[in-house]
Amino acid sequence: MSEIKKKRLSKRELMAAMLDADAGRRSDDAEVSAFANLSQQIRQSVADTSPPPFELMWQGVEARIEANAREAANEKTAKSWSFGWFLAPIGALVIAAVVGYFVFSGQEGLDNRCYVDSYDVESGIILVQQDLNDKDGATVIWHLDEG
Amino acid sequence: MKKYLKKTSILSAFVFLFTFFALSVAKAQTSEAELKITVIHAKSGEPYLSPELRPLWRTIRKTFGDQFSSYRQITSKAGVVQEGKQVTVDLPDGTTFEAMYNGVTKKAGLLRVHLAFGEFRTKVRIHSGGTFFQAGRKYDKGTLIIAVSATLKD
Repeated sequence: MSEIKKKRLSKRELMAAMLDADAGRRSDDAEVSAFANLSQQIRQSVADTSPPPFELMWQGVEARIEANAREAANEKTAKSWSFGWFLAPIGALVIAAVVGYFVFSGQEGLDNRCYVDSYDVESGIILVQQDLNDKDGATVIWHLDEG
Repeated sequence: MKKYLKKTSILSAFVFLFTFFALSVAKAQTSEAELKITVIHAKSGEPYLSPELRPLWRTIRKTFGDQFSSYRQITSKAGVVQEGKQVTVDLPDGTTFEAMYNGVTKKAGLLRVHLAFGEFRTKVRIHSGGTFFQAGRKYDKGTLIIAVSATLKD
C-alpha cells in the first residue's frame, strides 16, 4: 500500500492494475503484483471464514443429549430397583400385619352371647335366661332357692 | 429386570408368609384374659344406679327390665389371669364368688369361663369382651347380681 501511495497512480491506472491482478494476468509491474498478492490474500481469508460445520456440531449435541437421557434412565431404574428391594418386603410386612389384624383380632363389636355348657347345684333351681339371636342381649344364669 | 422382579416377588412372599405365620403362632400362644367381676345389689323401690355402673347400665336395663329399680354396686374386681387361674371376690354375705379363665375354643375363639359360687358350679363360653350375669341369691331385701365379663388380652 505504501508503494501505491508513493507512486501516486491515477484512478484509471489504479483500476487497470486491479483488473489485471484480478484477471491473473502476469505483469512485472510492482503495482499489479501487489494487487495480485492482495487479491489472493483476500480470497484466502474469505475461504478461511467458511461457515463452521453446524450439521456435524448438531449431530454431536444430539448424541450427547441421547447419551445423557439414557444414562439418567439407567440410573433411575437402578435406583428404583435398589429401593424396591427394601420397599417390597416392607410392603409385604405391612399387608401381612393388616391381614393378620383383621383375621386374628376381628372384633366386630360387643357380643354378649353366652353358651352355658354345664351347671351343677345341690339344691335350688337353675334358670338360664337368654336369647342367642340377640348378640347384644346378656345371659342371666339364675340360681333360685326352692320354696 | 425380570430376574429382579422374580427375586423380589419371592422375597416378598416369603416375608408375608413368615409374618402371617408368626402372628398366628403368637396369637395361639396368647393365654391371658382379663376377668372382671362386678357385684350388684339389686332391689325394688327408689330408683338408683351407682355411678360406677353407668357403663353397664344399657346391658342391665335390657337384661333385667322392670324386675328391679335400684342397682347399687357393692364391689368390683378385675384381673388379668392366665389359663387355669381365677379371680375371686368376697361377697357381702360372707361367701366368695370365683371366676376361672380356662382358655379359648379353637374354632370360634370363645373364652371358657368356669364359675364357682358356694355349691353352684357352671361352665360357660363367651365372646371376648362379652358380659353375662349370675343372679338369684337373696341379700338385704333384694338380690345379688354378679356381672362377669372376660376379654382376651393380646
